[in-house]
Amino acid sequence: MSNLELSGISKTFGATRVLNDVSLSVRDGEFLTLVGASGCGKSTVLRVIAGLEPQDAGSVQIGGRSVDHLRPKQRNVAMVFQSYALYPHMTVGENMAMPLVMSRMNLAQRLPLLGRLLPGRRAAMAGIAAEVDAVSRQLQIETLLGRKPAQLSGGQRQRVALGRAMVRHPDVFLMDEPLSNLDAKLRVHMRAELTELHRRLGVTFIYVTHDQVEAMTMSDRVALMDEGRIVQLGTPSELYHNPSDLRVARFIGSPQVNIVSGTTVGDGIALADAVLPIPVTVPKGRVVSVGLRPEALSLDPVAGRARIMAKLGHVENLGAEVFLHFVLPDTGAALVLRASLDTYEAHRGRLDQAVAISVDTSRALVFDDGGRRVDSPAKVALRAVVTA
Amino acid sequence: MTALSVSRNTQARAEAVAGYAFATPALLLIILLLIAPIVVVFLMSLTDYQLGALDWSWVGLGNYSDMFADRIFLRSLGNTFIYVAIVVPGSVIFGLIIAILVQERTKSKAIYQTIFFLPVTTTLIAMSVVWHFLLNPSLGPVTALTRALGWGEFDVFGDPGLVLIGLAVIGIWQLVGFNMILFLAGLTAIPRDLYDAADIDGADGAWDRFARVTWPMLGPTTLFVVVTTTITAFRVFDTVAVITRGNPMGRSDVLLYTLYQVGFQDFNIGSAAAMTIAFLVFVLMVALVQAFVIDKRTHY
Repeated sequence: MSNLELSGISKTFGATRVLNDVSLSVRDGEFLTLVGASGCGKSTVLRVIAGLEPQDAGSVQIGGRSVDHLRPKQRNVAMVFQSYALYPHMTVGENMAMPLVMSRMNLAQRLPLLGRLLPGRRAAMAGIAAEVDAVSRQLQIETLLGRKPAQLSGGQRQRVALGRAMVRHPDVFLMDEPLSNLDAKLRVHMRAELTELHRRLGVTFIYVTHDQVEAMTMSDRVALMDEGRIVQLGTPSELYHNPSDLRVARFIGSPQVNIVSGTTVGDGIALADAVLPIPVTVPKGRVVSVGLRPEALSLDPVAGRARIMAKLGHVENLGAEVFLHFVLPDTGAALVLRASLDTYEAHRGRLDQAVAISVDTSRALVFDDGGRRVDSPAKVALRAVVTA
Repeated sequence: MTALSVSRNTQARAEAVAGYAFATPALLLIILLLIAPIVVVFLMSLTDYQLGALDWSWVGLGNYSDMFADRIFLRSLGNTFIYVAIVVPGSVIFGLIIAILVQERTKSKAIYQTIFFLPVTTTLIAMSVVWHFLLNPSLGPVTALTRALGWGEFDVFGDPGLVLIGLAVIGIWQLVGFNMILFLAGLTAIPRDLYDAADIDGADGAWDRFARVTWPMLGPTTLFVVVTTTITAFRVFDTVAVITRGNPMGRSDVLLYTLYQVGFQDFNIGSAAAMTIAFLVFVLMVALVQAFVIDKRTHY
């Protein structure tokens, strides 16, 4: 019903081009995340959808009809701001009632004092109060309705902001970094709660964040943005395993993907002391960047896999798994390897020694000097299906 | 254990001593420059001291009872209240309107700000002379204008019904720029997000934006502006002293002008001191209203 369509959105602030021909199609009920470093234009996309910022070119459609000429309130979108943007002089209940008060009561009825004398006000207020009450119960803030925002904790304010968005039953929820003002623990908790909320409401969510973990854990699909363009749009798994661009590979994943430069040779890529048998679409003799996720590397020798020698630097033990930091001897490039605790125990005591690392070349990601993927796309597509 | 608590005690004492030592200079200055003069004025108000006289005696609260029986004092008090009642709403409302209009300008903002602020930087005595000329019933350009329009002549400063209004207009003219600057600062401090949220919630008309966001968020600023304006308006003196000297028929007698006449023309220092104390009490009440009543309701 309310799928959302952006076509060719461009936006310039002064001399800076903030959005450059952004097109995006969001299905009804989808949780789509716009992720990217600050200044990439993700928040501007949200503000264009909301109607807070008119685009210079392109069109926004919600539910199949253009909303370009509509004011924010007419687009039936709700927005949750990073700062929550609660009205500090109103109680929680009044904050949540605001969208309903504005849409259901006329100017005269909204007037202080005088409005009370007008017919219909009492009934409208009672209806609004009942709905605010119902939503506050869903968010478990029904005991806070009489308080002012200043008396609430960050997490509670976050819920009030959500409540104000929910009371109007919008077609689309727009969320602008809603969790970034919360402490780390609460953020993890709210991540789960927002996902749950999305599932329960079944409404389209468009979520903006600079945190790739939020993008990966919450979304149906993720659009990674850079310099005002969408670099790649796909499921979290696609972005992780099958990035189309070096920027995507670097942004998604923690710890970061290992990037090692190599040279194309006849039958693969020469990298450190080995030749990785990876078919690529560039001629030989070119310098390429090879992206290796920490789990594409292993300490156990696997038959038929290429091996490279590297010196074990330091070790991060996270309990369930261990990250081993290696240094390649000739270039000094760093490599991070994800290992189980048992594997690590077997290799304990080899700090500062050269260790053989086997490379799963089927999971290697190769990029040319422009950052584009150049290893065989067919293989990549197959892998995406397996891992999805 | 005991040794530790003893050393902690001595340390706490040393910190307390240091704290008082640091506070002493400021405290001395406050006593010397603010408290002591008020005490001296209060003591003088209990005497019949005349400027230049060699002997004086205590008269208790006699100056105060005389003061409240004095027709001129009561008249000037009433005139001052009328003046304040016109100047405060006038300069606050116009200051707010101008601030909102200027705020929305981008390139011309600085120019408008400067223009409206100019009266604040001028000397009111000099400007009073200019106003006196402008509104002069026979020579002034304003009279020429009203005459040309067929509205007749207005002797603003000679008409008992108009004189306070005329003085109040000058007072508003002088205060509007300052209030505008304060409101501009208040407006800048309102988070943009709130207007965005109001847009999305449907409060996107000019009136709703003002009533739902701007005005409530300006609460603390407005309070401050009202208090400072009230106190400034209470101190009206320059325009009266230069233009009307209390005329016509005492209709422009104001508190400070009467005080000045009693103290420095009649040399009746005891009575003038009593009036000063009365003046201080009014100003103090305004400040107390700010501190205890309204402050709690405008800060969120």
